[in-house]
Amino acid sequence: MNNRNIKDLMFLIFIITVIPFVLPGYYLNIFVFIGLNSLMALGLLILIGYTGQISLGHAGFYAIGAYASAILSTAYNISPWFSIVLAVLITAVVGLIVGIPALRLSGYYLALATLAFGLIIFRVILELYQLTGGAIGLRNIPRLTLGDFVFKSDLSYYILVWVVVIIVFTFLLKVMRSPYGAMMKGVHADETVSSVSGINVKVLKLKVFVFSTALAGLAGALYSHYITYVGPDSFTVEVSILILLMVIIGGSQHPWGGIVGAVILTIMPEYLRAYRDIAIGTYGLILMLLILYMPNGIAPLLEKLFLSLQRLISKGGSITK
Amino acid sequence: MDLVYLSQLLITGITEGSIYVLVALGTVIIYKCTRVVNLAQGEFVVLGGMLMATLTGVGLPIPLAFVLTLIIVALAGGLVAILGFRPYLKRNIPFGTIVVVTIGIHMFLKMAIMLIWGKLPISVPAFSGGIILEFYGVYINPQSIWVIALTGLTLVAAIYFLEKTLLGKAFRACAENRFSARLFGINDDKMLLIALMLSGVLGAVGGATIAPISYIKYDFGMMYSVNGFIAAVIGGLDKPMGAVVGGLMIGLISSFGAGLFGAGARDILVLATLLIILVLRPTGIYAGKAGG
Repeated sequence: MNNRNIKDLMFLIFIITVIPFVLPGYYLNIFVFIGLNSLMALGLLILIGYTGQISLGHAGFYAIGAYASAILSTAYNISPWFSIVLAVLITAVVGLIVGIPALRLSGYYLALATLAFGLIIFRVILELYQLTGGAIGLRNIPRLTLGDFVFKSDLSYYILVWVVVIIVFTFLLKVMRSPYGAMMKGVHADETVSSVSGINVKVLKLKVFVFSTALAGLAGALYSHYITYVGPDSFTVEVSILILLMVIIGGSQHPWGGIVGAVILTIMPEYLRAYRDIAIGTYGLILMLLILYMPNGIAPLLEKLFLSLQRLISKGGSITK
Repeated sequence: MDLVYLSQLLITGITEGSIYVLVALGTVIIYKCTRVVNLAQGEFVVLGGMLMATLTGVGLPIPLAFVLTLIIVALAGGLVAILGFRPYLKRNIPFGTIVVVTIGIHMFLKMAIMLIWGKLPISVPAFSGGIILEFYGVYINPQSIWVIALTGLTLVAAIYFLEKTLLGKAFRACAENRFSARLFGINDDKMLLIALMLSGVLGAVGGATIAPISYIKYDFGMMYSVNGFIAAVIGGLDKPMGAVVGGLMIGLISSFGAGLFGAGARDILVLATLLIILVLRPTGIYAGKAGG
């Protein structure tokens, strides 16, 4: 771990520790969702920023994780901790099955195949109602427990989810700022050059894609044991697009992009709930304008702002010209 | 499972497939000109249906309403070209990212359509009355004949335009090779405009003719875009004839899938077809010159 990574990590841990003390209780619930969205956005970030591929069906993988863990822990009485692990594995296998044919082709076939996949998963949930509860969904999903302790309060789940986010973020920082990360950036920049220099581009892309779907599955599984209910409405194409928007707004080339985007696009809809339909159209417009005028997103700007603030503070004590 | 039932499914399949043919052809035309898959293509279909409902609603005769609908949607297509595509193509933004831009266009148009026409499904009067015809036990909605006939006519007109007119030839040259086309003084902005306006007309024909059979709703766009794009991929994405074959295929798979295995099976069969084609023949089933 280099200094820069430790700084980033300490900063995240600091914010996460402070939030429960400064923000009203209602926000903990929102921050649980920000954490879950961050997991998905981080997975998508590594896919977009480092292989140049786009997924438009992450809500589908989110759904598989949520439903798999819900079904395993209710119908088959498997312990929720274990069902989460199984759900992540199932999601990764599905990701592999979708990824192999879609990644055989260059260009953006993955984007379109995942879009179709997300739509199909939504239909499958509605159709397999004996298993998924159809439009009604599944209720009474067991909560996570640790001995006698039940992860029921917002605070306990907040801690649980953000510990997971921090672990994933650490991993991401390590990978992104390592030779492996440089290699992945190479895949993004020039496939031919990368493959000539001995990198198996296809396998690398597939690995990253499967990792990214597994993270979505993990987020879904954690979601189902928090809300204790899953229904099809949480997994529409709009959700896939929203996660993609998080990454683009936050910044797909910056490790913080996923979390910054998740914070903005999870809090904003809370306030725009009454104008949901108009909000979606407005997001469309924001998306178009951002790609044109701010293709690197907000995170790099925040970093600059933060660094100059830091410089200002450290200079403040001493007398300088 | 008799012949009558199968014929019924065949007619339904060709009717539904016609719309996918139109959307897929629009997708292919835009793809050939820009290398971008337009995911806002389905909004042209919805816009076509909605305008048809409004224009016939204010008392215009159906042929006039139909022509006006096509003109308005063509203009909408032109606006999408100028505001939605051109700035991104000019800045050399990667094609994959422009696909995301088209999702932005889709979201925006969907909101606009919702604000104008509301969230309730809207019906459109049938072109020649609502009496269902019967041939040897097979029921045919006369509107189906309108759909198939007008789709056929539109295809012939589109092919005539691309093959015989000077503008069409310039467009094909541009789609084949932008740079050498530019050397011959062909303006790519104009070609982009043509591609989007033509796609708008194709979508509008679909929406205006299918709306009397299956009502039209503000959020149908993505469904048409995705089915049309799947049809285009199955046909080979850069082959206009492939779009026709792919569109009909998706229509037939949908209709027979739903008719024989239940409504839930249709989408799964469509996706399975897409995945199989992607694995076995990434350049599409339509045997023609393979292209990028």
